[in-house]
Parts: sequence; C-alpha cells; structure tokens
Amino acid sequence: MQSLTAAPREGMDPDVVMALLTGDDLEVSAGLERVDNDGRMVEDLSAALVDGSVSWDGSVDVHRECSLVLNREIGWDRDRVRPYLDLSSDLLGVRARWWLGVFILTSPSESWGAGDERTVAGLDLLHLLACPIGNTLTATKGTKVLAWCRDLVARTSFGPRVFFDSAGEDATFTEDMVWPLIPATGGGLASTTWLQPLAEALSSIGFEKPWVDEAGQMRARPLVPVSQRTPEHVLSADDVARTILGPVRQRQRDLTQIPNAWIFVAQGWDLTPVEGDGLYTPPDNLSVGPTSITARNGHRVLAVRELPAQTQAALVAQAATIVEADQRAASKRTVEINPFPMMGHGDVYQLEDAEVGAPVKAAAAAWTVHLNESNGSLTMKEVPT
Amino acid sequence: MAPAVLKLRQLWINDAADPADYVVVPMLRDSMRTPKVRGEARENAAGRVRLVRRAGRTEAWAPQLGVVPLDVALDLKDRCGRLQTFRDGVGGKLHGVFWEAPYVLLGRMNGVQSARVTLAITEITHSEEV
Repeated sequence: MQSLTAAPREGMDPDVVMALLTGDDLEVSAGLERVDNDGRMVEDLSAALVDGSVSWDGSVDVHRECSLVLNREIGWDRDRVRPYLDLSSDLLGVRARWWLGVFILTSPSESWGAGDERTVAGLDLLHLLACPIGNTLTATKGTKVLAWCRDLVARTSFGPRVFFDSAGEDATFTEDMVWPLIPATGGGLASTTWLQPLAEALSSIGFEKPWVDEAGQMRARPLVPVSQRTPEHVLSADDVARTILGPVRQRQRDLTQIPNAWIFVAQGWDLTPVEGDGLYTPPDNLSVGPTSITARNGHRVLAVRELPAQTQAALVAQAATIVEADQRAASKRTVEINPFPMMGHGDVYQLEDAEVGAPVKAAAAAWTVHLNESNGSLTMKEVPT
Repeated sequence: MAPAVLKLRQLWINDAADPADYVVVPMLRDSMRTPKVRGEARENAAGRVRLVRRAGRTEAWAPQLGVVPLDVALDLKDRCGRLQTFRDGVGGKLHGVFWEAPYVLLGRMNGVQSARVTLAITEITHSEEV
C-alpha cells in the first residue's frame, strides 16, 4: 500500500489522512499531469481529462494499466502522464492528493463528431523494458547483481528513478549468466526482452520481480512470503462507523489442480542437483487450507518447477512464495471499495467480514480505482493460516 | 393621464470570445435556477451510509424571455453552442451555453416582425484573471 504520507502528501498527519479516507463525507476530483523522466510535472492536462480508471494486476509483468477518456490528443506512446485523485472533506477541512502511477499511452481509439473523445489505454513504465534487447546479454560471475540491474535499466529509456532495496547490494552472480538473443525455450522466435534478464537476475538473489510505484519509480525488494508479512491495513465490513467496503462482497474458490506437493529445481546449474544443493522439496501440504491433501481426501497434486535461483537460499525463498500462492489460490475475495487511492503493489490486508467467516489475511491480486466518485474494486487471495 | 409603462428587466448576452458582440433581450421573469452536484448517500457494508460526491457543480437556467424582434431571435440562433456571458441587470452573472434557441413567430409589432424565444442555459466552469 502507499504510505499515508508519501509524496505528494508529505508533512500531513497520517491520522488525518486515514480519517479523510474513511470519514463521513468525501469529495472526489481527478486530474492528469504530464511529467518528465524525473517525475516533475511539466504540464497540467486536467482540462483534457474526461474520465478514466487505473488498474493493477499482480499476475502480469507490467502491473499498472490506465484507461483514460480525453477530449484532445496528447503524445501517444511518447508522453508520460500521471493521473491523480484529490480527496477532500468538508467536515475535516482536509484535502489530499494521491498519484496513481505514471503511464505511457499506447493504444488510442479516437472518434470525431460525437464529443471528439479519445479513449486510450496506457501501461506503466515497465512497458519500456518489455521490448527485445536485440542482442545476447551476459553477466559475469562475481559481478554485483543490483549494480548490473541498474546498468541494464540505464541502457533503456526508463530514466534514472530506480530504487532497489539495499539489502541485496553486495550479492553477486555466482556463475556466468547468458541471455541469448533468441531464448532456447519459450516458443517461436520471441526475442529476450530487457524485462526478462532483469527479473531473473533479481529473482536469483531472492528479490521480487521489478515493479513501478505510484510515482513512476522502479522498485524491487527481497521476497517475503505473504504469511510472514504484517497486514498493512484492516479492511472491515463489520465496522459500521468506518467501513469503506460496498454492501456486496464475493468469495470465489477454484480448487482445480492446485498443487499440494512440490519439487523445485534450480535452473541452469552445472552440477546435477541434489536435495539441498540445487533441489528443494518442501513438505507436502497435508493440512493447510482447502487444497491440502487431507482436505482433498488424500488426493496429492504434485508440481515440478524450475526456478532461476543463484543460491539454495534464493531457491528456497522463491519456492516458499509459490507454495503460499498455491495455498492462497484456493479462495479469492472481491469487494467494492469507496474511492481508496492508497492501493499499491502487492498489498496485504486483514479482511474482517463476519458474514463471510473469520478474519483472514489476504493478499491483493488486482484492483481498480476510478478517476471519479465511483466505487473501485479490490480482488484478494486469502492466506490460509 | 399618461399611459402605463411596463419596464421589463433585460438579459444581456455577450459572446465570451468577443465581448463587444452582444444582444439584449427582455426577460419576463426569472425562472428557477437548478444547481446540481453529482454524488450520493452511498450504502456500504454493515449498513453504513456515507456521503460521496464528485467535486464541482453544474447549473441550469431557463429564463422566460419577452417578445423580441425577429432579427434578435436569429442573432440568438447564431449563438447556439458558443460560450456566452449572461447578465440579468440585478447582479446575476453566469458563463454558459445554450444548445438550441427555439422561436415562434408572432405578429408584427410597430411594423417589425416579432418572435418569442426560449433558452435553456447550462453553466460552464469559468475563471477570470484579476
């Protein structure tokens, strides 16, 4: 989730910001800015914004997407635009702004004669790395991974705002790495994109895949299984004084072929992997959640997966996240939510809804915020305990 | 005894792009202005009801106009869909637009063809530099 006092809300009292988000009265307005590569506003485009929405999806490589309705053309596939939402309350006498991401508008659909409106979809700045490198890429054993990743990004048009967690600063490649122009596997003649080696290099030291935050800054941090993360916010459907959830909440379950047993193999190691050295077999899921072997009346669903890990520890860290995700996949919760622009990347919530069941921890899977006063939506995956 | 004289209020309509271009029409009486805000008393879970609204406001105004010479009615027709400034002579001022100016021909008055016009004005958000 965004920090309550992240830019452009620096200096505000976090309690007041939270009171604004959950208070009795809420006024909503939206705007749009063109920004430069450093994230500085260079043009206010709010007069051109008719309507729109911003969505986030944790299951794809380029996580944020926007859909805007504009009344004039702006630089398609060139300009960087930053939609924002302003919330205010008469009761509290407070007004605050939330940025919702920085986007390249890639897919305009224009019409003339009926309002001259342009509907355009945009992708967040990771889109700039989702194109082929056009060459074979290598990394030498002993090179610092995060420095190598920064150099890689610097060769693209992404810009200078790259912030990786310093916890991995000293980690190095433990062997030479090669990303060929055309990958040996993966199908067809799909060339290696800038995003693939970046994500694999970060994964190899136990980091999550790169993502871009609400201000357009690239981020990556050590992968922490959701079960070990503290919920960032309590979403309560039971709190009559403060709930921001709509009256209709949904729970969906799909138990089809979700693994409850796993074997993980490190990708590309020279030696034949053995357990503890390039191979990791976590305990079978005997009893956690509705996909466990016990819950399925003894049915064991095994998955064998190869992961791009440099070390056994990185292999185990990646495996733990997958195991948890497989357990979470069992239950999905979708809620309508009042304008709540706090939602960010990979958020973890405590979900309280007595009508549905006991309180649960839930990890965001997808969300949408509308650039108007409409309710947004939030889909989460439950984390079994 | 001098004949009674009825003086009507007047509505001044200036073209926003060229304020020197104006027309004056008599106004029989002011009609209701309708300010409108988008929002609702939103029902949430647990029975909570919360006020959620969109910033901004629109205002509609349909003044009832007096009889005008036909050339004034035709002038108003040319102003359809263009931003105008409306002043009612008693301090009321509004920037707005009307999309149609239906008129009906009446008889000749003082040798001039007359008509009655109806306007439905929608306020347009406007700011003036001081």
